[in-house]
Amino acid sequence: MINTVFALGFLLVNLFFICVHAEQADLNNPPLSIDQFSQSLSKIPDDHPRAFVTNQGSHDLSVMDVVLGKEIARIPLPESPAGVAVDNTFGMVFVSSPDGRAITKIDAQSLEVLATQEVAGGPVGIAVDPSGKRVYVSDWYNNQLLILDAENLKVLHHIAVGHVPAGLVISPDGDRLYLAERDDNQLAVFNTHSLERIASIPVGLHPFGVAVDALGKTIVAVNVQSNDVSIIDALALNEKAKVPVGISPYCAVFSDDGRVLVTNQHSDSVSVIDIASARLIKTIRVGGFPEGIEIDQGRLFVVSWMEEELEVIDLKTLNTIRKIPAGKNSRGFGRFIWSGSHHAN
Amino acid sequence: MRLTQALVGITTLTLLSFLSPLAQAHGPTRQKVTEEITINASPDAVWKVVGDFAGIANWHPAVEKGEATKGNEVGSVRTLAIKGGGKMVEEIEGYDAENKVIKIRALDGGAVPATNFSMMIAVTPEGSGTKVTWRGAFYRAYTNNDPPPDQNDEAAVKAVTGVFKSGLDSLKAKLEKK
Repeated sequence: MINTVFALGFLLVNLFFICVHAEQADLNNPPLSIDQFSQSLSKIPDDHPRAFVTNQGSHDLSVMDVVLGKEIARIPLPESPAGVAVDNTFGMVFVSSPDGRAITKIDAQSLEVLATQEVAGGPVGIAVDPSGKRVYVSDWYNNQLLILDAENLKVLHHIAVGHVPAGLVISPDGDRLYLAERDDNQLAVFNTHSLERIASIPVGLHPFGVAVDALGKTIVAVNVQSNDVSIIDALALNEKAKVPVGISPYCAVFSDDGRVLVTNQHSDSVSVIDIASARLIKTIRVGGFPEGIEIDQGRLFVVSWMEEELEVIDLKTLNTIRKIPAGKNSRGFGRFIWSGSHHAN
Repeated sequence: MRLTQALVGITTLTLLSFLSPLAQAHGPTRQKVTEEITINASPDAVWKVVGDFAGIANWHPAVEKGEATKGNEVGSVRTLAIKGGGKMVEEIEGYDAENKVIKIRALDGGAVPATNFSMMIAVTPEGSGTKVTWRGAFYRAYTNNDPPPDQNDEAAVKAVTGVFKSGLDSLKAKLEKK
């Protein structure tokens, strides 16, 4: 559908549609005017954390109020959105659409689409630096890293990288970029200022998701084919341990108490690893094909691709609090939680 | 089902530099197929057939014969001779006899134009009978941009749907035949 629009010409008006799912939803109700829409949006608490879940099959983004436990808006996007990067500094959301070959920028609070940028190849992994000024995108097909100006999404640099670049993260100090070079079975480390490669660290087979801890001391790469997680020392730039997890692990997130949690796509589970001892301490069952995983304010969030929902889990007890329906083939690959307006840095 | 109450168009005049030919192509996106059937037989009777990893030739019309390396153990690999030629090789990723769920990964998908193909068959009670759910997750055969028609997403979904549907129809016919 989007492509048909694109086919119309070079310069297009970017239509910004938001479908608001109100509580007493009724098809017979006329569409809201812009004023009514603004009012309805203003009633949606913006101090609540929101999840921005990419739906690859319905080509849109589910916006969920994780406290109310429901989807509050659905934003159409270029084809097959997969990667997502929330910037909590400015409250912005960046999404990669590998099939639509585009990056989209959305205001986390107003939900307005602020910019769309065409990129070549297949943008998949996406991350925003802690200052909120630059966006980094892995181009799955062309083996390159794209660096975009977060303000207007203008592509500033193309950097050649290894084969099939996938997940990427920026260190908390903003100085380093860690990128999974999937088919090279290694983690690339770049200096974000000079854009030079600092290291190539061998990991397990087919690393996909990458995560870094809050202090920037430890990185994990999630190895889909070898069913394990590489724990990497950021100072020594080497792999300290490999921890076996479930089948086809995908993404990971650090908790602030020394654990890392990993989604296992084929095991329908999340592995909980203690970083200090490099041991698997617990496995919890979640919805089928779990992918994106995030932590915010004591809650663990897991996106299930098969079940098409966001599972909200109490991080302390590891019990499921609720499940929020998403769109088709939901993924949430990247940082997908906005902490809310009161939590802006 | 959530209803879309309102469609609000706010126009942000954004200068898009999209050129249509570039934006037309599709990259590989994981596809999903779910097929279900209700069978007038007990879950135990259905699981006895479906849960026999090596015995798929007993119920799937496309399979000539099959044998497995380690029975129903996780890691057991079955090699299936497909009717009309060709073979498929599949491995057990998970086997839960209590909940009647088997998870299988295709090591060699044979003629099915899909890659990274994994599936799950679940047997659950449904009324006085049994529901069998067969779900698959896979990518199309062509892993780069711009696939030929016989290796695109639609071709993969069609082929997998055919495998699941024909299998479940045949399973039902076999189990309900007295």
